[in-house]
Amino acid sequence: MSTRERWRSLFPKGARETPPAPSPPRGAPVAHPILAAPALDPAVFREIRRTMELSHFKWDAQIGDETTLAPFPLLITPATWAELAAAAERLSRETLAAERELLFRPELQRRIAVPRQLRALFARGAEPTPAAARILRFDFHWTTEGWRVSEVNSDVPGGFTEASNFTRLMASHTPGARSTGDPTLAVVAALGSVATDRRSIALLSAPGYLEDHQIVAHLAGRLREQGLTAHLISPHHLRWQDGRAHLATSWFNGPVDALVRFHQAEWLARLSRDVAWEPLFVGARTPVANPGVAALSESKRLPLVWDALATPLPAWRSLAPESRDPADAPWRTDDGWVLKQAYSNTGGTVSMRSAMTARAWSLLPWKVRLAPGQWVAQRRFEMVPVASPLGAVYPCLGVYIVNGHATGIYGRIARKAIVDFAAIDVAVLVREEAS
Amino acid sequence: MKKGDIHALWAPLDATWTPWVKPVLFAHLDEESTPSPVVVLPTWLQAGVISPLERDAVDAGRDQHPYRRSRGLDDVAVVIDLPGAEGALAGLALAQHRFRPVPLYNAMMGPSPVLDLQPIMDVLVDGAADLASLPLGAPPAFLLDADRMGRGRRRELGNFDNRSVCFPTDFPSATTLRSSGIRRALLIHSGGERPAIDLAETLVQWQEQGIAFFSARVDTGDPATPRIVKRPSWFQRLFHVLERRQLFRDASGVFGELLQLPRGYPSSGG
Repeated sequence: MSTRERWRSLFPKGARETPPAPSPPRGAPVAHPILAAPALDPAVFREIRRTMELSHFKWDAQIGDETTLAPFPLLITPATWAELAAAAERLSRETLAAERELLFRPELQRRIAVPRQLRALFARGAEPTPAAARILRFDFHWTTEGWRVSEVNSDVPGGFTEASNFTRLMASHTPGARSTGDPTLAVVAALGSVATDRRSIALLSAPGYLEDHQIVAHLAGRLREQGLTAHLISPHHLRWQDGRAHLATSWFNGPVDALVRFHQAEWLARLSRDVAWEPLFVGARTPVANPGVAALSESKRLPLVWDALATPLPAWRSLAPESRDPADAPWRTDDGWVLKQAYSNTGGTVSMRSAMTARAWSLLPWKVRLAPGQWVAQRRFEMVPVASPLGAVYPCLGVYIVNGHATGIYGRIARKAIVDFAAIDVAVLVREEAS
Repeated sequence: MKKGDIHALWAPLDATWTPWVKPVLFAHLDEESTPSPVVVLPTWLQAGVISPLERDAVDAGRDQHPYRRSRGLDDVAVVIDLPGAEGALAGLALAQHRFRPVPLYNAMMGPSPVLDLQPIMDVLVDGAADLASLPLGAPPAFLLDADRMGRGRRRELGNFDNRSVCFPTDFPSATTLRSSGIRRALLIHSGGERPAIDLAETLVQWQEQGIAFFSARVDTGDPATPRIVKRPSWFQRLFHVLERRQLFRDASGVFGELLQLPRGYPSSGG
């Protein structure tokens, strides 16, 4: 089968017919679709925090002087949740279609800063490793122009324990409100459906990163509740035999049915050759969630090649702010632009003058000059704050998609108009409509 | 004793420093544990720590204010950076002097760990009851494992790599300490004149914001003495980077990344 035929088979005509996304409202919105509820009783909230810490793997509830769990929920209407879910599902379809096309477009991979090692790997033409589940999270913000999506976390979306357990605990103390769903439950169900032989799954994360351990430990706990065996591993525990994943650890040696990869693709690409990471991307028979090809749609420079793709992306074009190569955007003089690294996480490299120290801002042009192809300039949108018990806060609603379906929200709030790793986790609940 | 009860004794809901207690090791305790008597608490604290700090308070006139006289060492935050369970035991000993131990152990246990944290977890269980009568506003004694970076530890394929580092964001800021009346910080450590390089940044920040710094060494018996903590030199920081790069090569490449992330433990997932 030729490359073109393979491309056609992976990218059937029907997949191109993505329905257009609804136009977001233009002009100043009449009412904010998000409302902050009053704070819970402090004693009740401290118990919730303790429960999260001891039973639900929330081990980073304090960063410096800031508690990273909000003592109040954000409320949205059922109609708003339906709107966000539908938009995220459309974005998901477009993202995966674009990803499939990018797999066979090496010239575009380079433009979106896919690491050299991964480009070389994809260029071999091996079949992509199958997906045990496909999990994405789209980050929505309410702006002066309506809903906007800042990015998709396509490679290793996090926030599961907060989106599932914290939301449930807060909902139980918020009369007249319910959760939007349990993304962990959806992921566990998806993994359970592929781990049918040995009922065993390995969860891969980078050693030393506590928050990542939290997430895989949370998932492992829920998998075990379903009767599955869950192993927490590092990349060097992996072995491959005839495309099947095996573990070589001091506590277990043998095959597993599926892998959960909570380890960024670009980090894997930097590991030495004695670590068997390549089958996480291509050529393996053991399914992986997310498969390594997710690295293609994770790039924040993806919008720079939209026009070069055959895949139509109406939802993305409608909801995402304009992106340009930093060389083509006046970001140095115009505060209406923010810079992001192509592969960055938790907002750690989102750079805007108003949110940076003078020294950090002065160093930014040098960083960009050193690796211009690794950055993207994104037109800044004007987020609308919500009045809350913590004062005015800027919400970010991360809508999870698991195997094509919206399954819940990971809410975060920030005191400044940038939602980064210092953001506070917040439960997002749906207000029950009065009957 | 139930896991939740043990945690509640180390981290009472209304205690001043509870938000900073790292929950990881508590979460890894068995649901039910049977405490054993704590074997031996260190005996050097009175001569090496308490008396020198009290003398300093008198010399500096801190205890002359009528409202301060009864506060004793309430203006002191202690950081105990000793290996393994030694630090936790020192924390329990300090609790007898009305300091509240605040565990900052931030690594997970797992099968075949590089660092065996079980002795620390045993102290958390065994010493919990001793903390029941501490005042909620007792000054903090932050507990770190000096072996956290696993220096000199053998790592083999199949080990659970639970080495860790600490960050300034693991501690309260100088502003928060000062608002709680903390004016002095004491580091209890061993193995060298200088604080551990990952801890130095925190101590420098505190010092720069007006908190007087003291250190006491356990290995040499040096009592608590006023010091100036210096920011690590470029060479030391470079060495530290290289050291972490070495960890990067031996394991899976993560510690090389940590220095690029300025604060806290940003998740690798978005």
